[in-house]
Amino acid sequence: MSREYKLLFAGPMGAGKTTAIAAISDSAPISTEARNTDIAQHSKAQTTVGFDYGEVALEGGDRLRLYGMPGQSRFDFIWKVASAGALGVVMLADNSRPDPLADLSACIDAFTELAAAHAMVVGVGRGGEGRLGIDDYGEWLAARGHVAPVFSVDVRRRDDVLLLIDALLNQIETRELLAGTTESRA
Amino acid sequence: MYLSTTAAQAPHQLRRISCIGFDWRAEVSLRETLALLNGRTTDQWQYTDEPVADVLIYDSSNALAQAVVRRTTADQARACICFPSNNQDQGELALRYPFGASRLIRCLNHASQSLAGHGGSAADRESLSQRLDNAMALPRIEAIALRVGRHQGLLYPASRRIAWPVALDIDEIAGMLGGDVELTALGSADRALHDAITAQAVVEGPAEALLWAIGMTRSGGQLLGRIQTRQAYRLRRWPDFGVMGRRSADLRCTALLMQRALSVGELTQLSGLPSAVITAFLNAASLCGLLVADTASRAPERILAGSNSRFGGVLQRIRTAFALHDAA
Repeated sequence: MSREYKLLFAGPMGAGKTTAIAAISDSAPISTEARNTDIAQHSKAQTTVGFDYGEVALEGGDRLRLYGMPGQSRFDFIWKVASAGALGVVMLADNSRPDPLADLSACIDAFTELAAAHAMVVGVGRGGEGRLGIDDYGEWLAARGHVAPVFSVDVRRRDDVLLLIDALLNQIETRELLAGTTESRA
Repeated sequence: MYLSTTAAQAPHQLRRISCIGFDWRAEVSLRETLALLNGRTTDQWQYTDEPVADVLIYDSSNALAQAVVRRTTADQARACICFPSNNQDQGELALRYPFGASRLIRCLNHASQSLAGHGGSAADRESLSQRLDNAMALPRIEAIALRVGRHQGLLYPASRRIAWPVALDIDEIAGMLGGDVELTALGSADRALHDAITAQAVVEGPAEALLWAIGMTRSGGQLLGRIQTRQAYRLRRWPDFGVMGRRSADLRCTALLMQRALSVGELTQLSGLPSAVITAFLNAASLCGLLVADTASRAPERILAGSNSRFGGVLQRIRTAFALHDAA
């Protein structure tokens, strides 16, 4: 019987979730785009109001489902529901926004349990356009109790999205590996 | 393309081979041809993505590849095999694409001979990584002047920032790694020289990508003197691999050291990576100021056999689906 696994892409509106999924999905992602009525939040014309959905076929007939969470915080109930059973979450940030950390705040809080149980990785887009550096994100996360990789990425590039996936997988694998070790007196 | 090899190993040992500046089709072809040569060469050969491989094959028409090979063979005894750019080079260490098995076998056997004759003397020279680490550890140092060719800039050890005449992008870093790097430690008495260089080095930014690259490619296979093999280390934070490029081995080592302090041996055992890869990783992390000695009293790690994964083989199958190289 084939099984399905789930990977989440989250972050504020305009951070690039739809683009990231499109970069790695086997087929064009299914998006539920609608006219953006929340111009105060972000100026883009269209935004995701439901899920973005893409998938990747795995050996043995299994599937990896890629879900892009809607960026608006009024959909935070979806974020928590979607976390159940997910392998981990790829969090995307837009460094060109006036206050990117404030934008991230609600998402990070919503996915705290998933990050603690499995893994989280943060991709910062448009890194050269903002006043914050990667270290600022890392310190901000640490202050909220998260130790997650933070990378400068351009999610239009498949290899940058794969960096995020690779880091996520390595966190899960090494956590399991270390759980299989013990400290022993020599 | 040329093949380059590291210092002496006993005959019939497993040797590692990598390539620089290849078209991906040539790389895939090389991997597949190597897999077919099992038992037909003097030594056993295994393909690796690591720049610390025993043998490097490079495209002689690629200037960047030439520079990297020139530098890595200066830091560490190697033999090189090339893809010649024209018909002139027909030596024993020259290959053509598509690879012929017989020619590849001859090249690899010649490389084995070349390696056996090196005797490891080059490994005794102090690497750029070590010289840079020594300079950064000097007391009362304010900056380190770096000169590569016509370019000169200032590295500030405390902040790990660098001022350089041009933007320090990946091409500029590659050029620096391919050249001879002169280092001069500057203290408060060297203000005039400092100011003269500052007038030219007008682009300032983080030096992490440069320091990481130096640690990875200019360590000469030797751990920095400050890194003690029995000491456990952890990482202060994740390096920005978005800037430095994705390598699964780096991600795996980082993920381990972000979760637990490990000694060099423990990291080697848990990661399943060759010790040369671990050496380069730790040197790079140390130069970037990310490697922290764990002061807490601890006992060695012991891997428990038979631990079950909650995810079974799905993580490996995800890697396969995305063609992510297995770090182990």
